[in-house]
Amino acid sequence: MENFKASLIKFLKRENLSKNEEELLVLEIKKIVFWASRDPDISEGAKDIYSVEDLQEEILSETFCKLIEKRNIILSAIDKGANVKAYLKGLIIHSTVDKLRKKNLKTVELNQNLETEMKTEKDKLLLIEAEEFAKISLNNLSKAEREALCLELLGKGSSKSKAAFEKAKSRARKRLKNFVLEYKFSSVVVEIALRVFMSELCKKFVNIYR
Amino acid sequence: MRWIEFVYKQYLKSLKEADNNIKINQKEIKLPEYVLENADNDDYIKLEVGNIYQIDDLYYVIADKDAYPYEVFICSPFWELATEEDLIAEGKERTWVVESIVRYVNKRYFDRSIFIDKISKDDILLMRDYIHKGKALPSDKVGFKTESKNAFQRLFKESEQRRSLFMMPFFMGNKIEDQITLKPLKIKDLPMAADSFEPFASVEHIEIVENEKYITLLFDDEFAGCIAKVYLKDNLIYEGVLPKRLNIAVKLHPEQVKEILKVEFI
Repeated sequence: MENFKASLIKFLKRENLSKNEEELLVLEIKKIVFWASRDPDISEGAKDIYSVEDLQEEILSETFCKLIEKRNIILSAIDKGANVKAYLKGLIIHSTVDKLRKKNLKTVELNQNLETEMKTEKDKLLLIEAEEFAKISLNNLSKAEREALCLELLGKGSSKSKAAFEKAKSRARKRLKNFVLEYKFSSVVVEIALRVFMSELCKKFVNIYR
Repeated sequence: MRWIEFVYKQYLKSLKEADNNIKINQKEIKLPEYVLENADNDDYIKLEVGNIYQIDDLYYVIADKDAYPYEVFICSPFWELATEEDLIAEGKERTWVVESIVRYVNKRYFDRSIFIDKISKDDILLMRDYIHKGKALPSDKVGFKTESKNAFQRLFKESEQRRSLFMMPFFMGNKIEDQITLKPLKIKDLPMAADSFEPFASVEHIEIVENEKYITLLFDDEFAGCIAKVYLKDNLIYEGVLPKRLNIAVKLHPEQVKEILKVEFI
């Protein structure tokens, strides 16, 4: 750790590093990058945009850029005893999440033509969550429950008896409530899911069903 | 996986020590061949309301610089985990959740902090008004309301509250035992004890000392009293409040223990 810190300080001060110091510095930073990105959740989240190797390469380059850009801050902090490893770990993890965040939040924005209504990062998160809730709900409801819920959302009646239709609706609502608790969704997410995504999905479902 | 669950998992990962045993292809190890001349300005030197700092794995934003210790709010770049009582604020570099957790930073902690980013004083004012005057936060700038006790947002907030307790001015800390001796443990895959090692080794905040019966881990003031898990090569050997001295009945030398010791804060 002390050797690493000494190499980092030399690097930040733009002093020449020996081969060993250079190797140690790059190796230690690479280890954190690899640790942060060698994670099945990261590979899954990055698929379609990055190979894990490309992601690692990009994060590594960005980390060095950031270190140079922030060298005065970091040198001053090291001097006062700051935990530089924790700083590097935070920098690397948040760069990694930022890359995947851009992809995930943007996807929803492109899928839904709601930019005028919902613009902020929080809105995008709300749409992601709502879409997720709609999918979980429709995939887990029984055919009768799904039909009852969809017909209700679309404001249409059922060909079944009134009692059977009401029963199915009530069951569907109860199960939705359970999904909220089981999957820890927020009520505002459910509201948007019902308003935007479920009626969209239901339209498709009802068309196929017919 | 849901995005919010992914973010929560990454948050948990960010609290762990980075695994140092990862193997890297030796051929690839060299500094990138570019030189950037731009460097940060000296803004970070001035203590200002809205400045965000990092101390270890925790982030905080200055709320009041005139009072001492400085009043701060705990914050995090994992803004998706904001609850309805937390503010989502744009920083110069990234989006933050300013949590409704008030803490106090003295010089000792402040000196050990690294300047990270800056958010507007207006956002700080919103949170101060919410905390001190009970004024509502703007609904478009807060996180989602959650009903489930186990919602990711709530678990995150509880963890943040717990982790930042040391910043309370009258925090008495967890009761710190002077010494705890662990019963002899069966630990898998330990390296063989060798003869040519020094009876002493150290890593940051921990001294490892060999004595007749035990290997003793001596935790410094920073670590003693923290709630943590202690591992020897992936074997959990202790979980709880770290004492000042932790005796482990294991036949290893301090240098070997140093290689396989891992402390993970809870």
